[in-house]
Amino acid sequence: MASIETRDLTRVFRVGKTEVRALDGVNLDIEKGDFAAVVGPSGSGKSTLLALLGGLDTASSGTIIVNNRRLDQLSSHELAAYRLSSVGFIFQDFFLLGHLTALENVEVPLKLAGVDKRSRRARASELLETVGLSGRSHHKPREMSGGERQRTAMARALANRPTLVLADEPTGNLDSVTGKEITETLSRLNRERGITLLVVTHNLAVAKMARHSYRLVDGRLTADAEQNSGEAAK
Amino acid sequence: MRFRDITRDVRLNLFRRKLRTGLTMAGIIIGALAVVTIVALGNGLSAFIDQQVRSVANPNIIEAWPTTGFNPSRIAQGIFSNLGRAPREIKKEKQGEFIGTLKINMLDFDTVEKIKEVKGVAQVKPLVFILPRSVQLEGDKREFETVILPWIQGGPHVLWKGRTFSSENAAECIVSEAYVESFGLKSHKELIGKQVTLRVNEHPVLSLTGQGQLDPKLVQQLLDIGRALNSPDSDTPVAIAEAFRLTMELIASDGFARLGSQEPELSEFPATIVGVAKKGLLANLIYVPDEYGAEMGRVLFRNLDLYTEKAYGIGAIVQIGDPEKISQVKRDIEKIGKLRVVTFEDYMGAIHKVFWTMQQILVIFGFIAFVVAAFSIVNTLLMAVFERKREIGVLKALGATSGTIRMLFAIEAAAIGFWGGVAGAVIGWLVCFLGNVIAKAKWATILGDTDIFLPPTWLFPVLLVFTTILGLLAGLYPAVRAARLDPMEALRYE
Ligand SMILES: Nc1ncnc2c1ncn2[C@@H]1O[C@H](COP(=O)(O)OP(=O)(O)OP(=O)(O)O)[C@@H](O)[C@H]1O
Ligand SMILES: [Mg+2]
Repeated sequence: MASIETRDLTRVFRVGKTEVRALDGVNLDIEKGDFAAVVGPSGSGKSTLLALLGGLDTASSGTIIVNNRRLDQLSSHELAAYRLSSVGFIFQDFFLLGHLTALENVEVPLKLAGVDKRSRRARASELLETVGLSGRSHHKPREMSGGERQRTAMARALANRPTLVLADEPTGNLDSVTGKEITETLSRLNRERGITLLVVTHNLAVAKMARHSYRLVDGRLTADAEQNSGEAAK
Repeated sequence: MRFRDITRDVRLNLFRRKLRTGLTMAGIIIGALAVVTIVALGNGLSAFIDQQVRSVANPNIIEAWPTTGFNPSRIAQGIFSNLGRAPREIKKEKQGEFIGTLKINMLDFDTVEKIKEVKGVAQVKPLVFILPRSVQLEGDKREFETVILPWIQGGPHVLWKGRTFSSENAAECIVSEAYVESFGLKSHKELIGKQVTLRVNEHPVLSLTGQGQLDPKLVQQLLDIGRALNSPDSDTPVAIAEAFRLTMELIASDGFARLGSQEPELSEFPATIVGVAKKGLLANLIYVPDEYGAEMGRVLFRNLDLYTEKAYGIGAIVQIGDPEKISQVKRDIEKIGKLRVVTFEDYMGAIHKVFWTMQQILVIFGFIAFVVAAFSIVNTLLMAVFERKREIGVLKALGATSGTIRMLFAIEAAAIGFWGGVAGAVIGWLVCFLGNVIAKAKWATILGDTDIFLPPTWLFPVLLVFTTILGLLAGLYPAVRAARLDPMEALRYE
């Protein structure tokens, strides 16, 4: 059973008179609980793909089905609810809120979901522990290393128990050792919690850890799912 | 998102930029401060004047004037409401509105009798005007200014020490406590029993041209001279001799002598001080028995018939038996017809209206501050939206709806309004408090323990609701802008 299914997914940006086809007829199937990677050069449309799958952007044409729901038919309010409850985003630039501590950052999605203060404190601490960051819960982002920040972002992405985690170049701002640790943690969460994980990257080492990887060039998938030996399976 | 969490986040966001928040609030604070102090001062002064006037006047009296004839307020209205308009036709029933048709009408005795018959009326007396020049203590050369009122206009509650008058025309008076100081005495006890001279003016203009005089005799004499000179045999020695005789007679007459004298005549009235009234804002008051007062009033118009069976006077003062029934009595007197009836409360109402109008005008200035403050809130929030663009994008990616984002900014603006209102109200209240302390220290003798700044309690909730709504309205546009931000673009934004 497919968790993600896109058909002829196309996203066209218009800048003045020129058209940029960021995605051009993408057909992608990712199974529930899979760890998939999409690799491709800069500007190939990776971030655009993630935004569409995460309900942050709407397609120009084509369909997206996630967990048996057509995203392209949801209202903006429903898309917000979808992002809140079903999706966890992880970005290259972390996008933590600078004035909040790690713990408070993890609390944000819980707060948006209307969880009361005590429960979200408890859940946020637990999540920080899961990503191995319990000692840093009262630090602000600027007092943390890149790896610690990305772990905070991971904990935040998991806050509302999403079925799908979308990571856009999660190791892009990290050194290779830290990057590997982050990817390993993601992979572990994928295995232990059955979360569908889609990582977009041009880091091949990361891609190798995924079970399936896809190549995106100029907005088109060039090859079908490539079965990895799957370091993730280790 | 829960409302409690929204308000908590709003507080956090406001504290993140303390200086900017403070400066933005300043407009609201100044507006609220202005409104509180202005309204408090207007309210306090109004209450103070009210209390002062009540302490020296008799609230249980009604004035009744003939509707035709002299009506100063109508004349003023007529003049001001008609500025720049085409001249109006003078209609008989509206003569009172035209300065050129000014006429002083006497109240007729029939009407007075009808007023006396109205149920609830205790007594009716002519409305007496006295133009006092001065009061002088026996054995003291100095003259002091004074306002002399017939006792009916004061009433028993005015008396503080001593007694009331022995009769309606006794040569007695009740003076304000303030004269202790003027006369150089030690206490009010020394006032009682002292002899004073009350000097009363005749009206410089009225005495020559007004109701009572020109002396009809004088006019007659002039007419006689004219007739003698114009008679068919005017050039005969007999006629000339007659005209000459009449002229000499005229020159020798009292009336003619008065025409020439510039100084109005003074009359002196001796009086024994029998009582003392508590000193108020109007500190120069002296009350005299009604009939004795009427005698002084006759001097003003130099008309010995005035306030007697021959000429009632231009208005009546009606004393009410039961103060509760005052409005009923007023209505019944009005039913007699052709009477303008004014109660003490009507006068107070007019005074309060003046204060209320002044207050409203001043409050407009406070509102100018609010308008400026509203623009400043709009500006601050647009800046905040711009600065927090990425944050908005992140919140949306995490699942915040546009509604939540809109709410966050709108509540932030409302909070600026609310807390600005609170700060302004608190500072305003402090200003009022200090103002009262200073005023009491400075004018202790007049004020006693009266508050000049009297902020009405309803003002605070009304003000807070107003500033909060003002903030909310100012925040709407920035909030909508924030909510409309495209999350992808916001996240991409460098
Ligand atoms: N809002 C936009 N307006 C115009 N063009 C856009 C917009 N967003 C993306 N694009 C264009 O779409 C194409 C794909 O962009 P996208 O960000 O998806 O690339 P990417 O694969 O994520 O690149 P990178 O690896 O550098 O992050 C690019 O050519 C980009 O210029
Ligand atoms: Mg990208």
